[in-house]
Amino acid sequence: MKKNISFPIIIVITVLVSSLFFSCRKIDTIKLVGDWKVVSLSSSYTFNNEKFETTFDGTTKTSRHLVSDTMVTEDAYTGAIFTDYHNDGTYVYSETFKHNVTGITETLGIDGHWYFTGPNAEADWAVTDLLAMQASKSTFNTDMGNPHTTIYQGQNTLEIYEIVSLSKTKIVLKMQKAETINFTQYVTTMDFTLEPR
Amino acid sequence: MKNAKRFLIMIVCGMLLIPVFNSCKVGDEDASFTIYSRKYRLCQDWSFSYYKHTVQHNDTIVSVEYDGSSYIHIFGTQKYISNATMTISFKKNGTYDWEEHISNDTSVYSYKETGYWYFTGGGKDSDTKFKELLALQKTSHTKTVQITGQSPVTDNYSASGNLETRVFRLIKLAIDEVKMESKVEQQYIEGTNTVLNSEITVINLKMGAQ
Repeated sequence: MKKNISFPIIIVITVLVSSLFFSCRKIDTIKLVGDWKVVSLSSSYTFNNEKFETTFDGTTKTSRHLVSDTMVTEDAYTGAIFTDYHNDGTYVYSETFKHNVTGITETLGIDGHWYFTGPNAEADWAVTDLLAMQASKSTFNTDMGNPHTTIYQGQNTLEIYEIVSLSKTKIVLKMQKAETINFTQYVTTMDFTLEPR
Repeated sequence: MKNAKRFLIMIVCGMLLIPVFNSCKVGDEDASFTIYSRKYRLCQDWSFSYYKHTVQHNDTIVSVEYDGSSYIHIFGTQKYISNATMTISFKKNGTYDWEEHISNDTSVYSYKETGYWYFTGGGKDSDTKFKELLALQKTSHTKTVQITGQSPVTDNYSASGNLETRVFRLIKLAIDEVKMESKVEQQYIEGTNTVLNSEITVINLKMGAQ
């Protein structure tokens, strides 16, 4: 009599395949968790004929405001950006910059939770392609006045980043979005590279 | 010997399936066990059986409520009641469609929203499990208000890319019922000044679009 072993085999294969998805998240969690510094960043925000752009090389940050490609303001700062991803699902972001002309120092600190999103076939994202960051506390401070603190509780909105590359020695994240609100288009782009501190 | 082998296989399979059974109960009101995956349970055409959206700015509260047939706007002590239908469909390809149609004697309001949905959550410190959070990333909406005797007013939004995403906590995800809520409290402190904002959305869904 032939043994019917197909049912247990199917169960085992199903469990193994489903465990692979958990493994992907675990492996990428191991790579992500750590103390990182931003070594390069470029971002821009455009609408109508206005453009705000920022570049950072790991030490110097330059912010520009352009109207119709003509520079309106340019400010240079010296400082650092750090992001620490913890194994318990929390993260701490901090940046400190001193204005090169005025000498005013600005600090921004954000605490929150990070998640990988699930896959999405239509948007063409796999299980660990997107990193979601959910702020729970944000504090902005200058040495000129009162700190501004915002505390969030509950299901705050998620900032979504595309993970371009992820290894123990380098993370590259990207955010690109275009929103059209009643015929006006707002485009945001951000690319940044992190390396271990 | 043959029985012992079979017994061993069953024990191994049982042990391997323990994590699968444990993962059935994710939300507080989820069943302890179900044969349907979370994606299978979510991806259907749903009608709203209850909806409440409350926005608070310091002491000012504005809310709307829907009980499955009537849509009630509440501004302070004033109440405005309209007939309404609200539906949402989650597709297996990762998209969703949200539609509202609200009408009374003097106006008709229609709203259509599309976007991507994702499961997310998890992390020891986040007090959520993976797939307990449902993220809705809106990629378009069209709002149209038609007031009797006037031209319709339309508001359009379309977007692409890594858009900011709303997130709901799935309290119950069953094959015939979904309960989810999003509560966001924002406390802004500058020196001795504190501003309190909150936005609460409660959604209950039942099977079948109207």
